Amino acid sequence: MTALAEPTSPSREEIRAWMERARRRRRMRQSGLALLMLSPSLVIFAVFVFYPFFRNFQLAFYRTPPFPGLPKQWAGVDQITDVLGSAAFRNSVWVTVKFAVLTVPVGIALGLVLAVLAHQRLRGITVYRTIFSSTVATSVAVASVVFLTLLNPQIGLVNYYLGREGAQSLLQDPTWALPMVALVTIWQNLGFTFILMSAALQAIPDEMLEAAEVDGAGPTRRFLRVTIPLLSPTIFFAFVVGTISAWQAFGQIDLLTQGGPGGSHGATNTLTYFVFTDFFERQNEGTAAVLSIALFFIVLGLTLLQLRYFERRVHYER
Amino acid sequence: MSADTSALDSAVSDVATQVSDPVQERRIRATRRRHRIGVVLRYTLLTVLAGIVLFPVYMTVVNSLLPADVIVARPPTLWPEVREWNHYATAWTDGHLGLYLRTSIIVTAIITVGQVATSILAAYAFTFLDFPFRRTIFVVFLATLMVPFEVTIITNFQTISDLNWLNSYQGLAVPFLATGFGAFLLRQSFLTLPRSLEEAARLDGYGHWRFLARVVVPLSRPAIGALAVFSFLLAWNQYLWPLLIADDEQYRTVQVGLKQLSQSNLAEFPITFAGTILAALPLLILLLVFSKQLVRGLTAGAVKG
Amino acid sequence: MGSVVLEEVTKRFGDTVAVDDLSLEVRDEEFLVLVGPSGCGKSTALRMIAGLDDPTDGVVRIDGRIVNHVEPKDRDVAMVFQDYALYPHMTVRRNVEFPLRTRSMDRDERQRVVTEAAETLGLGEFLDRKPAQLSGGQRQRVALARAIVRRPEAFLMDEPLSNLDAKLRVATRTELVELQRRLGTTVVYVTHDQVEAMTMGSRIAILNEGALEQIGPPPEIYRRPASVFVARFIGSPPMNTAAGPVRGEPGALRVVLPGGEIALTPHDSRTVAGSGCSEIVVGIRPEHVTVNDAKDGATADGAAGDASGIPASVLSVEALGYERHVICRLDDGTTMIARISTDGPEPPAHSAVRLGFDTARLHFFDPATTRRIDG
Repeated sequence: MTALAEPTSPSREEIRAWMERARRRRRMRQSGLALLMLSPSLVIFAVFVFYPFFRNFQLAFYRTPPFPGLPKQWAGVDQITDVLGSAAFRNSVWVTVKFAVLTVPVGIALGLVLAVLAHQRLRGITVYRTIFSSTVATSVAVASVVFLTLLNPQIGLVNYYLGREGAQSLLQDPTWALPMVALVTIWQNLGFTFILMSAALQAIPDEMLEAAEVDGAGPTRRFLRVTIPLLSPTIFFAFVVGTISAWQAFGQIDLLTQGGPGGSHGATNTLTYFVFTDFFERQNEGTAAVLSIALFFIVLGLTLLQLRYFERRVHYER
Repeated sequence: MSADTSALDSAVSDVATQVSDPVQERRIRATRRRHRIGVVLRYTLLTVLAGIVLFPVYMTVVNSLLPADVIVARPPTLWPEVREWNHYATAWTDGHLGLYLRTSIIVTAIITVGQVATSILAAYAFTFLDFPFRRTIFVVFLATLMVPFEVTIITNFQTISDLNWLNSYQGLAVPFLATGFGAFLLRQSFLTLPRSLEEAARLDGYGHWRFLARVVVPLSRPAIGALAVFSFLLAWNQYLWPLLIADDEQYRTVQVGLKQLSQSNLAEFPITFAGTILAALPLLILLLVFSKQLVRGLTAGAVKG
Repeated sequence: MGSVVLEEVTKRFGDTVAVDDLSLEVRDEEFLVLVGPSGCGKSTALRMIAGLDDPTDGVVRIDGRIVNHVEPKDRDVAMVFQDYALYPHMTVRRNVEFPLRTRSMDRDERQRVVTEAAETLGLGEFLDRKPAQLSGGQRQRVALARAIVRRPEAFLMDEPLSNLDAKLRVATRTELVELQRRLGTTVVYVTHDQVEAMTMGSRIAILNEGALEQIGPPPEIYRRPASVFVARFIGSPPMNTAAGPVRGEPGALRVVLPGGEIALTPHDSRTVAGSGCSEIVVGIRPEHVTVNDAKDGATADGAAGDASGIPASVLSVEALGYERHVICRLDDGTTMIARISTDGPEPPAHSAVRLGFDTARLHFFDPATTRRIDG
């Protein structure tokens, strides 16, 4: 607008002032627009991610009164050391580690085997691919209920074919409960792992395998020397993601075993399930907050591992 | 196929006879046979594995069709001679599956649309706008990826409760309306658009909103589709949060509804099975229809995106 | 239609000076080519005219109006980008009408303008295709059509032909100039290709390290390059240059080059003497150099030559069919290229020759400033 009313020959200073004004207007407009575009996300993050996250640290220092309504008591680090030193906490960490060890390597191996088998030119192979990836369509809840019935002592097939008729469900057996929960988890994740591994296999250029073949490498050698190394970034990714999700496992525990058998020292009482019961059944937000913080740091460590891997990948590719 | 092979076979042996080299002929035959055996073996292996993967679902379908007394009978029935399809109708009405699915669909739709919308807006700001603290705010977005939702449930539950949002769609959906992952994924995609597209639009008088709607969104459809599928799966499969927030039948999602169903007594078991199948169907249909986007969505984080 | 003027424009990105105190005027309806090596600031200059970059200092005028502070969309210029900036999800029709959709123009009028532009550029049958279904040349036309429909004060073109193959580029050069004449618009055209600059521009401006070296019509630039840089940038093969001290009387100067001397014409002698330089850079175009036999002085084309001249050895000969380039090296290692006809025997590689110079066609430059010395 200023341009229309411009004097016959404005000085450089004036022109610079106009530009500065235009620039400031542009920046103001962009900043305002950016604020508008970012605020929905920022509000959600502030209220539902950062506030509850930092409040955990505050909650951790107060003991929750035995009856609602009584004032909270400052406990300092005592509560934290109490919880982290407790047998129940150690049990749940140990259970979760075992759970991760049971689910992750086996799940990845199975997914890889299926992906390799389905990665060949055969008539009707798409049907098999669809079947192998089909379990992504099942939620944790669906998978759990499906297996719950297979493991049911009265109507399930498992006890019948294992010759354990009349015996309790394997889910009630302290030795077998965790492996059974792991089995359900592996089955439910199989579709995802299969899709992941198949995509990685398809990304391997045919020339690489052909070059190895020309060099005289047999199928086994080609698989071990070419395919596996090229898949290793994806395998690592699946490993970290699988391990993180093991620490977040909740639905299958709640539906299959409720952390038992064995109460708060239960054979399937994983850390996330422990947080849940501490807060919602025992109503102890103080100790639950300490457990949440522990869970956070464990997952953080795993996430950082994952980030380092991404960094390295970027280096490999560029 | 077999006709083809036998024709080929005889052609090969014809040539072999012409050459009249019995050793050669035998060797060719042996290779062919070995090859055919290999194919048969591979199909057998694939079929057995497919059977194992599908078996749990198959048994659920079988049991959903059997009368309760047949299910309990030993030895277990592996093939339904009688098929009681009405179990599905019962699950839909008496098992409240219709109600649960409705809630799940509404909540999942809100979360998916919300996540895609907030991610598009945030990614646009990070890619095309210049504003103070851009890097810092981006780091804040990435930091949210470090905090698993499970860590925040204590206070989030109390917040939703204080807002009087227990047993409500907003209580189920609002905490998930933004995602750092989505903003990050879409920013990566927006960055691949040539800078000249933006400059051309600017010269032609297109403001940011119109450029976003007419150019950026249409050109980023693959990435947006992948994010939508990813968000959908995550929202649909949620279990912990709806378990905490909604104990009213009206606002129970399918996943939590399954818990309800699984605790029913023996006589209602077929209904439970029918309900489980009904609960799995929407995703299965989605998988078959959108398999390409699904694969892209699921592998977005792993294989180069 | 309008003129575009840059007055003492400077653009700094941090510590680097992209454009350094650049002043130039693009006259109304002129086809001005900004040419220079990559990184010389020509694209930045163009972007400042468009408003995509802000000048650090100086004034930008379009049609007499100061536009430094005016948003790109209000400057009434259209730009053709190197990558064409076509929207891949839109048909050719939608792409061409894209600039019109922000204006209040009714549908019929818009259709008419789009169809007209498409006809002008021979795109009529492609209107409903997507850019991916077009050839490189057709895409380039779509980008032009999109610029035309706006009827701007000036077209800004940023290396619009660099993505075309060599043959198509030559044909499109002519078409673009023809189009500009027909539309009677002002064009500012950026390229790094001196042949493009020479063949298309009504005037060309040569930029080097952000600064203007010379501006003028192509023949003038070729005949009277204003600096060593221009002399060597325009013309292929580039002008030969060699430095040497000046000797002799004011009316009959000689320049001492490695292995010999060149006697200057009386006119040149006066010019050089007037400059006061004791050392000087001599330039000569390859077509004004003859290659003579080292002993009898016969030229390589077979004509009788003189046995004087500068001794040199032949490095190689590039035969282009219609002419030959003889690449020679002087005693001190300076390379000199002679452009000779295809008649006569070829001087064998590594043979000793004498280079003869058409002394009426010498160019002189001040070695300190590298600027041309003129009488």
